[in-house]
Amino acid sequence: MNDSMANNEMYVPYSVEENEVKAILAGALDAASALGASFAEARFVEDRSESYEIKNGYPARATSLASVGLGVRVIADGSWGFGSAGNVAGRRGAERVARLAVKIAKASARVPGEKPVVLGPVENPGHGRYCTFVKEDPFAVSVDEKLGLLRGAERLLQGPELSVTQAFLSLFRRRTFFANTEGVSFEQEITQTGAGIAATAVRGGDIQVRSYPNSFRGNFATAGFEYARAMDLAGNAERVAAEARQLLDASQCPAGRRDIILDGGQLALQVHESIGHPIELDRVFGTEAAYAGTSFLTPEKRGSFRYGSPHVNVVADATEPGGLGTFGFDDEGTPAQRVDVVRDGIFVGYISDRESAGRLGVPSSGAARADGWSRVPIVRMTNINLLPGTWKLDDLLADTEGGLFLATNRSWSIDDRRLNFQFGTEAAWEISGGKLGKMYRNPSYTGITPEFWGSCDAICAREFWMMWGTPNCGKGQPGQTAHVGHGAGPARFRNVQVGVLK
Amino acid sequence: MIGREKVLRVLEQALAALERAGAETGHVRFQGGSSSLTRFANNYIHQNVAENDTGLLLTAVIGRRLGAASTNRVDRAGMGRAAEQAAAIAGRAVEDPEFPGLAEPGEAPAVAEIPGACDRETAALSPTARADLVAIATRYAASRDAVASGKIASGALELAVANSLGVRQYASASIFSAACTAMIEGAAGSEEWSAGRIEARLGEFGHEAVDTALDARKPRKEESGEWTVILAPRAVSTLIGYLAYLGFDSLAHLENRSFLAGRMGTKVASEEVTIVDDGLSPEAIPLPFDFDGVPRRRLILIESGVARELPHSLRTAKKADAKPTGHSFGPQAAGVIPLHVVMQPGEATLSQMVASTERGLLVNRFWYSNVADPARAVITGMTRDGLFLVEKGAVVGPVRNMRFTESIMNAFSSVEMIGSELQSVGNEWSLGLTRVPAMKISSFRFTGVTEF
Repeated sequence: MNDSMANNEMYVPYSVEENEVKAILAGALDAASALGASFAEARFVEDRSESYEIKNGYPARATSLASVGLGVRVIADGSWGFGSAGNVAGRRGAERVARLAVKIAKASARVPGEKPVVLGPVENPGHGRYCTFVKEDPFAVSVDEKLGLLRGAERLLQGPELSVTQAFLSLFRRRTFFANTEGVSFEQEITQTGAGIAATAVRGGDIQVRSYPNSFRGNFATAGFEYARAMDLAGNAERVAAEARQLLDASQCPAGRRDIILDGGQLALQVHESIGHPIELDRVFGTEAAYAGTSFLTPEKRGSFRYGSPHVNVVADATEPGGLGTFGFDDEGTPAQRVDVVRDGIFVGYISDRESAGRLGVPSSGAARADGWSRVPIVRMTNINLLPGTWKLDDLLADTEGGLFLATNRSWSIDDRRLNFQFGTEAAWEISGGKLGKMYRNPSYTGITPEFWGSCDAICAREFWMMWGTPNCGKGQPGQTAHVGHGAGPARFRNVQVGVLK
Repeated sequence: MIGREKVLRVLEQALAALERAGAETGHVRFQGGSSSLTRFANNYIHQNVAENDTGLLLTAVIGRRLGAASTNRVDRAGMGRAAEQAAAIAGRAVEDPEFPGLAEPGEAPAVAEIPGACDRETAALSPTARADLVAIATRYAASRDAVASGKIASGALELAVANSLGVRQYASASIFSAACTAMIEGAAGSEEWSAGRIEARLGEFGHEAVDTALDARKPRKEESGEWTVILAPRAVSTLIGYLAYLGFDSLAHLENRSFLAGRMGTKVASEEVTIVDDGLSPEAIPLPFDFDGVPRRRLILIESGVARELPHSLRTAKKADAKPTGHSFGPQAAGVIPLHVVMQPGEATLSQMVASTERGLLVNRFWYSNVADPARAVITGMTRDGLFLVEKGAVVGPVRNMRFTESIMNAFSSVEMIGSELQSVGNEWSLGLTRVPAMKISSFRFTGVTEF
């Protein structure tokens, strides 16, 4: 902490001293072991967030949230149990949570698996500290300045038929202290910032939205307030407002098979739904079957299945700077990894936690992530990145006569094995004469995952590539929300079914 | 459970902290409880969790400026810090000319707690008892060479609201849900129970899911297009959830971004369709007041096909020149949405619906639905866990899952028959329950087929 942070009236230090946290973790592990747990891990997590929204010129939201608590996960009698409580104080509080976890594990053993739970090893386990690099601590920036940034952009979202104009700012900080009975421990602080603007235009029976830099509250990164400043929300506001209104006059996106170019924001969600989820090894093994579903990507496909064209290369990379899924350690203490998922179009690797990886006989990919102190770690995306190709966007447009350019996600849906998907985007443009031409409203496209990725024949170069943050990825019961990232730039797909909406 | 008296004392302390921090008026929401969830897959318990927490959201009001801060450190220091943060934000925030003020006490009498809302046995259900319920499903699945997955969740929550004008509200409720998905040879079936209390009928937990999965094996591919559909209650709950969210959010009406904006009082559905919102029914995890502290009242959303009433918060009521109905999510909420939607039952049984159908599809459940076009309330999503072909009045066999892309208004305007039994289904917001019958719709548009 530096002085400017300490002097800001809004800056709130952590509520629990480090020594007390360490006593709590030790108390939980000692108690779990004494009660018969063969393995225990304890996470003390303090979450803070702030959320601001300016809507139609006025503040719709100015909120600061804080939550602190302890989660203890144990194996006893060969089965899992987990207990958690908010605002745990002292060793005795920790012992109560551990006792609950062991009691639950012993109940789990009434309906046991064929074999006791086995965890794969942690390679180079985490010891030490990790902290997101931020240039400007977003929690130390004054409320005036935060609201000023939003008001400055929102007031430029002007024009007739704009029914709702919005500017958003979201800040997140999570501090985790972790220790397990194998001697693994770490401390980590992740700071994230997101911002965006949106304009909703309404006429008669039509509603059209344009957003920047992405829909659903903007774009997000592990970064400080410098990230929101660099977006130039104000500089994009007039274009966003104009395009929202233009959509009201645009024709309905035609139906048929077309060559399409997806912009980076839409492609990021395409990667998320049709690559990021099916490569989750817990889904593959059926442990999400009742809720999120399973995966078409069965284990025998690893190393041979053609996921996409040879242009398609995908990694799961928790080390990519700035990604919303960037961290130092996952919530089992496995250090951040970069693993290959698709290489030259061939499926080569899953994302996994210790239990699922152990079952496959591979090391954990370091993707065990928990939504705060009250949830167990489950397999989650980190940054699932579609690696850049070589094309310049202008060249790609010039090479795609008669195609469509689709921009900014509006809706998404995919079946429970992640094969049949349908996406809508905010806007589309006809590609003609090597340039973007006529605008269309209500664009949509649909396909089957491996066929779609097989039709990818061009991906733009790194200069067009960026990290997109998805802060609302839902999975698990009770529900967990994960912050994950996707590197993507524009790419072309041939002969895709578009215009599903009448 | 902390109990009414203690929770109300905490609220007084939080209001005092807001006053000390410089708030002119203050609003506090308390939310606490214990919840447990036993999860199973591959016929064994693989995750089993419990959570205890209490939290406060403090809103400071200075003039027409608002700031809010939450904490789950419900002690003097934690409350003091949150109050200071809320007041610091409010002090720097921008004037909100549309702020309606906080709720006044006594406009309507505070609703007493609803008898039966909090069942002690359900609130205190042990992990052993949950495991033994799981075993009913896994044993039956194993006996049929099927694999069962699902959850048993139980617990209790306490909600309370107070403000510096004198509003004091407290309620508690127990929660229970059980769900099972069974898979065999790539086919799936599922069932779900959601209620305020544990149900005696769980003696056959998982059986329906397993039997459906057995029937769903070896599906044939049918073409997409316009189909007559018989929707089981869970499939209806998806459509009615979107109807409530897109059609009956009063804030969306005021902002002219609801497909029903300007259509209240007009016919929007078939005459057979009557839909109410009843947050006071002990069967539906009742919430007798809203997060503004206003008593909740029963609403008629659609009466014999005609759109009637909208839910209102203090904010939307002021703007619409209406009365608040007790449906607010709080002073800074983004929407006002009914949580306890009930569709009035008809007279048909599922077998009568099938018997009356020349050619159609029987849909158990929709999945991963999303809004494709909000202006026309077009939703897209997949079928899941059992899709069956009906021909000449009989179910003739399973069909590969399909994607639908259809306007919910078209669906509710093409209702041919409504089921006589209501089923409770949990909703997106985990508060309240939706209660819906099965429904036969004459024309429903499928736009794609998947590979299983």
